[in-house]
Amino acid sequence: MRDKGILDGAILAVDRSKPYVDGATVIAAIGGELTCKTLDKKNHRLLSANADFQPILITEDMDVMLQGVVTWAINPQ
Amino acid sequence: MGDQSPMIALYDMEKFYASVELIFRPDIVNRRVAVLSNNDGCVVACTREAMAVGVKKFMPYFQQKTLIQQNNATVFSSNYTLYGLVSQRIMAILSQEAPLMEVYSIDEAFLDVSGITALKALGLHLRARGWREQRIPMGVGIAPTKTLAKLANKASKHYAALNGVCLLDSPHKWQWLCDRVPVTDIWGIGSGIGKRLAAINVTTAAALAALSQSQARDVGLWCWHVTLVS
Repeated sequence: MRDKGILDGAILAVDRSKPYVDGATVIAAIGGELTCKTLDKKNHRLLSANADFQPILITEDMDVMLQGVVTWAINPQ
Repeated sequence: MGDQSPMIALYDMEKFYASVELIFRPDIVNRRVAVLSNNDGCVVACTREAMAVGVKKFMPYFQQKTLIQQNNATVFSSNYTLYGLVSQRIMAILSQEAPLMEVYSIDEAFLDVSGITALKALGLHLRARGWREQRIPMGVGIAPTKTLAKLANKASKHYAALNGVCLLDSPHKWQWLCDRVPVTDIWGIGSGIGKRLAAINVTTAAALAALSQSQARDVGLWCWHVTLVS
């Protein structure tokens, strides 16, 4: 999520009560594994703000659960 | 103000300690999970999946250790500071939407919802908020008395069609339930009195409600205040 200012090892504040709007930075559990992505509601995708990572298309058979919206990031120096 | 007959809602956080541990471990959601008491003495909470393989609540851990390991269940030592904090957050959500609340235990609260017309909707709404904002599943029972609200709460977990909210707002609904609920499921009726009641063929909540005061005294219910319907 480099292009959104979230570096590897960053500490994130996550608000579960915020609505999942298009383009929000979210925490998702994919197959039980937590990941930070940008929500692309129109195309049912999770995007990475880093060209090195491919978008993830969410299909019905996938185990994906949104955990909350990222509101703050603290990056390591 | 509309209808002012009393209505009580009981919110109960399901498998609370296990549910709290799962907040931070999405990788073991829907798996076998057990939480132990202080000094890892007993199992005090476990998920449905752990129960299904025979893990039992309030039984010593050392007796179940082999079973737990054989079934690859994840075990947590209890972290009461954390459970207290999550409980406070849920209570804060509940208190926002009802004028009067009684925190009954770490995972249960009674809400006075008298005068509210859309009770099923309120139940579903608060339950959804608890899940979305804290990832804690809840069962909701709404009825005219606390005892009936307890029964309704139990029913909310038993009948999937209720979507976690059981509303007993008319006599035929609570009678339907009382005919089916074992007497020992009633708040305040333990297994000891349950046995004595069974001996005189009182096995359901409805049969207990039909007892006279003297019959109740005969089986040892000296403090006869289990009022099912006021």
